[in-house]
Amino acid sequence: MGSKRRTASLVAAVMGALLLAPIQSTAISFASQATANPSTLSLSTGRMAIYAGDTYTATNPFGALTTPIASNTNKFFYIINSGNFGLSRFTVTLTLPVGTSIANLRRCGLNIVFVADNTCASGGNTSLTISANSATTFILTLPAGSFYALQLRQNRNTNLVVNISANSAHINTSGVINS
Amino acid sequence: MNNLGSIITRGASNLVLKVLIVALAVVGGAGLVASNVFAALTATATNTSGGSVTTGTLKLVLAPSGVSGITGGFTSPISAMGPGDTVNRYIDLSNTGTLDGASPTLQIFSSDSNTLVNSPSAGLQVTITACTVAWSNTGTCSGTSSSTLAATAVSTLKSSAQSITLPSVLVGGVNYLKVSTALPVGTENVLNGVLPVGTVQGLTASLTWTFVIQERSAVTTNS
Repeated sequence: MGSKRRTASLVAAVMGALLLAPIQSTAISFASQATANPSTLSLSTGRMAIYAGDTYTATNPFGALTTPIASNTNKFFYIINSGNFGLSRFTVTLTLPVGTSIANLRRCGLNIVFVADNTCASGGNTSLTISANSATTFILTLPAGSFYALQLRQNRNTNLVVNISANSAHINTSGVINS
Repeated sequence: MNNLGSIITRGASNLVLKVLIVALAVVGGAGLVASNVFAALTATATNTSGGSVTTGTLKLVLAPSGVSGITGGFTSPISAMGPGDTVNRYIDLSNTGTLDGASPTLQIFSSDSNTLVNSPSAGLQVTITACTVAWSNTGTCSGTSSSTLAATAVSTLKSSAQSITLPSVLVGGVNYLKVSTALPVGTENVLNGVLPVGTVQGLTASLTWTFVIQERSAVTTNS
């Protein structure tokens, strides 16, 4: 009987200690430090999106442009930047059958289309040097939301595959913003 | 015999009664005597004025800068941040309590788990600079500037509180802070509009900035 009473008393004491300990700990912690009203900053990063399209309004295909092309006929296509960042350079690879000869590759000014062979809607056109099946880097400024129209003439009836790549090191709109 | 027995029983009862009366008289008398003695030896002194005790408060308040053009603080979101970008936000951190503070720290809490908040090298970096007066809206300090936090990855600030150096944690002290959040330049190659695996592009993060000061060391005063 006495043993049962002692056990019950011991359990009561332990329970009391467990209940009181966290209360005491919280009170001490609360008194010893102050936390500034927490403030949450929402942040999002933009994305690069540069690709080739057969119209200047083409949306991101998330892949290469594959388009039929005729021998000795001008083919028009577009390099489009629909991302958030302007670029100072990009790389173009035109994949054509081995032995294909590129007669010329021309471009109009920024956001200007060809309206006829060798004729831009405004201004003149500029020749670009490129070889088939070889990655070529063009040092050209391509702002976000803009495009270049290109005209290609070569000597095969085949499919043209256009790959475009760019590196984040060549984003030209980065800077310091105070806000 | 019966009469004799009755006389003896009555006598015993009377004796017990007498003993009880005497005992009660002794106890009562002793109590009265003791009470009188105790009251005579007690003296009480009380203060007639003052004696109140108040405790101090430790309060740290964060507010966006009040300078026109740089009031974004932490409440205005940052969007379309790019590799190489730095966004400066300006906050005032004040000790508005009645106790001096000590050992300030900063920790960032985020439930997000992506490259921005997990990568020490490719993720966001934070630098904090203090100025003795309010920052201008072009990010210049016309007073004296000092480093509060050297460039530190958000991943580090997320994992544990980091010590910072504030010009003043004393009562009434206001710290004018420029909080620079930067995304490293990186060398991500994007092919045909497809972002690489593990990219820092196209991500979001919610960063909860938590500044803490401790109470200054306890003091013993003789006064």
